[in-house]
Amino acid sequence: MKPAPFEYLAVNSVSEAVTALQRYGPNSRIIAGGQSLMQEMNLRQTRPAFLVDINGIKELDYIRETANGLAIGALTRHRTVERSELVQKICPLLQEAVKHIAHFQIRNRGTIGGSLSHNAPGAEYGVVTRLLDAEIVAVGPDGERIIPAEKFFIGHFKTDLKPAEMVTEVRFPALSKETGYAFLEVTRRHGHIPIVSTAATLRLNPDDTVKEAHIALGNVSSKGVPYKVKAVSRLYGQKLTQDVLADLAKAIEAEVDPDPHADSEAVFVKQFSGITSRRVSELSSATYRKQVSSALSCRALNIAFQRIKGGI
Amino acid sequence: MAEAGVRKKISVTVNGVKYEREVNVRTLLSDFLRRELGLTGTHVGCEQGVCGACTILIDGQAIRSCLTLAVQADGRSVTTIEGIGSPEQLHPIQQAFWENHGLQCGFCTPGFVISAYAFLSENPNPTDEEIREALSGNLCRCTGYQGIIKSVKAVAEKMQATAVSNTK
Repeated sequence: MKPAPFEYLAVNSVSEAVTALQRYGPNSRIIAGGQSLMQEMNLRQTRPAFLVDINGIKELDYIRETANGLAIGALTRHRTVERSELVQKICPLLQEAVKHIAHFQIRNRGTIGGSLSHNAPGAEYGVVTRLLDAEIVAVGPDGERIIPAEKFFIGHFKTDLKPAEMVTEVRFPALSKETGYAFLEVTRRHGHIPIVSTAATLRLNPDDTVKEAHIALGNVSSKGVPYKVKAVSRLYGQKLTQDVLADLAKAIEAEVDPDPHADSEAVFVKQFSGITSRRVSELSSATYRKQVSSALSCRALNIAFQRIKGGI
Repeated sequence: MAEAGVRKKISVTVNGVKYEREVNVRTLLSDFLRRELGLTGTHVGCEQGVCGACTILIDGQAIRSCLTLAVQADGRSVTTIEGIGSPEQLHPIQQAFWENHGLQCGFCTPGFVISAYAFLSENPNPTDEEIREALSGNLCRCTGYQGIIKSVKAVAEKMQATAVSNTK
């Protein structure tokens, strides 16, 4: 389909964008890459009255090294992050994650600020920002504020951004050379919406016991936010043996709380498609996603471990 | 600052020709190319960015023209399938699709050719895995993809052979 009618304004600076958002009110939307927004508008799921096009704000398209990591401008395309030597050097996990976003034609347009502001379930950038406690810089009528990832995501397709605010920058901490990392996801087809996405980091003591480990999951929280796993703290001081990982897997399955609505959706597919296979009925059920969460988490830790040991 | 509006004048270069038009701001780039400029080689399949039939190049980058507004192409350079080759002079990618059964009904083909064009210009010597990954954003409901992958592989090998013979 085609988008419903709207009025359009292209702006060339952050202050122009904020002024436009104030002038046109809550029924206005920013368009950056438009890879989610245009899809929703074509499907008439969203009907903004005003579109504020920020593609002309060239100064928001950058990747810079900072004192303790990376600063990425909101208008930076996924493809730029994917190819950046700076990202490879300072925060390779981010590069690993970005390769999972859709297809290269979409990555040529989609932006980091747009992905975070959209907060779609399972979105790769959201999971990584939450895992690494990245900071999101937003500018509005009252100036700039810095929002920690933990506070930024507040619900399905909802963020802490106020109506006239926009994301301008995302700040990621550097991963130390000794940190192992992994990003994995399960999708119906490569490039599609993840059923579960997982990011993990790992640091070891000299005796190979766990010094520090973090896991974040996408599309498993009934609140609709990237989820940071608590059970991972039980690994501290332990070696990553089969038993320890099996124990962690059980704990993660018990801890995560996927949206049960997906279960009824899965039943709907089963009932009306005439397909009765296990795969369809469990494709995105809460039970299935709990199992995927624990399996992917353990696999991610294993990959992180092998990275530290030089196996990858 | 200008006011928001429902119509806008744009100037866009398509396949080397500069066009100046006034468009509705809600016109998709895919519809602009097909209806306003009559360039119907760009196909419209799903209109939600999934099928890849509407893939075009904008400033040399492959994108979905159904997820881009015509006004967003203002001042940019667009290449469609009509700018890649012609019936009289097929592009080597098109020739390879012909020779390797890379198409049946042909609906998805413009999107595949453009994606392959963008991909091969960045990665002229790809592995099978890379070809599959690059084509994964385009859907074909006829061929089963094997002929398409074979086509892209064939043209990559041909380009390599030409490059080698040119350097000799």
